[in-house]
Amino acid sequence: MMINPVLRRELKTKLRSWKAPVLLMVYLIILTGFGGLVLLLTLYTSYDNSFNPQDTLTVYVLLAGCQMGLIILLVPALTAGTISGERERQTLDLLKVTKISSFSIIMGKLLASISQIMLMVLASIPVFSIIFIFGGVSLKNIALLFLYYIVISITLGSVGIFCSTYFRKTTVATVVTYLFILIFCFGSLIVYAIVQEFVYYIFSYSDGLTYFQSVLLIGGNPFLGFLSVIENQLGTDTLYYFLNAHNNPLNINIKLWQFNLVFNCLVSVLMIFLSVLKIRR
Amino acid sequence: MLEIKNLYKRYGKFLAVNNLSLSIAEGEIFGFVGPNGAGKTTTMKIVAGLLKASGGQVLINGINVISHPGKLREKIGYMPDFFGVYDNLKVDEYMDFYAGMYKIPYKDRPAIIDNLLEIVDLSHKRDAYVDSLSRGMKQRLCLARSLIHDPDILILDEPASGLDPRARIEMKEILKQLRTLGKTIIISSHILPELAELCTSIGIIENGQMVACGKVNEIMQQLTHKRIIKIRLLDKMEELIRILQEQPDIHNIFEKTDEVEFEFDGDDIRLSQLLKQIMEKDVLLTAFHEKEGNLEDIFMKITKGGE
Ligand SMILES: Nc1ncnc2c1ncn2[C@@H]1O[C@H](COP(=O)(O)OP(=O)(O)O)[C@@H](O)[C@H]1O
Ligand SMILES: [Mg+2]
Repeated sequence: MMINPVLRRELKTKLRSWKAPVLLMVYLIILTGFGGLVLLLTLYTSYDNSFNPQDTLTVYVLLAGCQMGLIILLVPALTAGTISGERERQTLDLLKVTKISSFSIIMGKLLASISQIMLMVLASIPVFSIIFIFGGVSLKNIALLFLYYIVISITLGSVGIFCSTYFRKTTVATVVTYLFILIFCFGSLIVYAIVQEFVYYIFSYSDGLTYFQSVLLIGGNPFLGFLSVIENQLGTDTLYYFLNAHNNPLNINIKLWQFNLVFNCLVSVLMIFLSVLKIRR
Repeated sequence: MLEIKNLYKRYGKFLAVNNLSLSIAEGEIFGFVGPNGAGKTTTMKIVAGLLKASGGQVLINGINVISHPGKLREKIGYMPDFFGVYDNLKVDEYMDFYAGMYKIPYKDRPAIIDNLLEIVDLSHKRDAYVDSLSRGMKQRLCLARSLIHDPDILILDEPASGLDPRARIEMKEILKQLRTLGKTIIISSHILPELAELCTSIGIIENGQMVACGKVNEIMQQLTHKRIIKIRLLDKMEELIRILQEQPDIHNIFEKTDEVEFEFDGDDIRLSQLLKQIMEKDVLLTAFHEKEGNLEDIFMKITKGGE
């Protein structure tokens, strides 16, 4: 059994460089700083200066959201330079002439970047554990949240690698990756709103889109996916109206986060496939 | 062993390789010479499977590289003209990484790496970081890397370019050693003398076309001896031909109505003596000049290193 040599080398050089530990430290400082701030604020704003389980949940949600934001910001930076960087450094040809397949090269790169993100996410567990002390969030909930982090990292990472194979310059690849994600996160919301308007006013369907149509249309959005994961844990359902859940003639009960995970996996597969095609030639 | 048949490569409208054919036997060291921009790198990249040809075939042991790139990767070692290295990686780890890329089992690697570092004289640097090595050392390391999977064919694209004279000599010594490994080697350069003593055969390429190809001594002889002189005259053709035929260093006299062309082996002093001799016989010349033959022209460029 041989470890993917690209992954092995990436991890080795990453761990040796000063960048990885510095990045990890900054990451944890931001996360704990944010968590501490939120904790203090909830303390001061509660009328008897004490904690109740509802406050812990607020802190948990905000902390989880902060981590989600950090992942969305970091993954493109970690992946968009992987292939274009090899090209700029003039080492890509040396990889391409070897026996290793293009798929292994792409996967080695992706796994190396994801490992780095995973390291950060794992390092954040102690920060989250402060919340467990106060109770209110179960281990199962946190496992689902972390699974979601992994999947969204892989998706955004494969988008970054895709851009890195198609654009020669790392700077261009990075900008395009962020653009992609911007469209992913906000563009889809705008499209969704416009389609809703059309359906209501132009076609005068008084019920609007069905629940399933809504999920198909907007279910790939990372923010909503994250929100759905959180709502699933808290037992709240603010997405209910947003997704027209009352209009469900076919009685389809797929949750948005479930759809979102499947959607993310499909996007990853597509992006990896296209990257392999591109690098092969 | 390696056969290139009617190879073409087009970059947009520009034809970088134009109907190039050559054949290299097993164990041969083939020098690929031509001025900058002649198409050497392009040809070598196609052979290494990095570029798609616009037409033609590259056969290795009869198998087409273009349709079976995967099969031939393990047979070919490739050293590009320009390449980079990784940060934070030591020399032996660098070698180990590429060993992994060729799926060489972990247990076999130390012996292979030791041996190759010995050949390129970098054993003492095995714990140094690759990016701290000098240009010459990096070049040698890259050569060792290209040998890691013990390929049958080695493609070296200007391995000595950009090196200072001392590093150049070191590189040359190592390349000479490679001859003993019994590999088929293609090595390119824009400087002919650099290759002449190293190679068994040579191909000269210009503007994407092979202009001369053969054993080293044949080519060198062709290049150094053949000068073509052209004379244009008004009358006394017979007189001129008689003078020319008397000269020991003139061959292949070719007569047209008002022109004579011939091959000349002598140096410039002999040439001026010849002109004087002709003038003394009152032959009325309108032109006396050395024909800008293809070979001399290219030879001048490649012997000087061209620019
Ligand atoms: N990617 C490319 N796009 C367009 N033209 C190219 C490209 N690569 C090489 N060329 C042109 O093809 C010709 C041959 O280049 P090259 O094979 O690198 O020559 P050499 O290695 O003999 O110096 C040159 O004129 C060069 O400008
Ligand atoms: Mg070149």
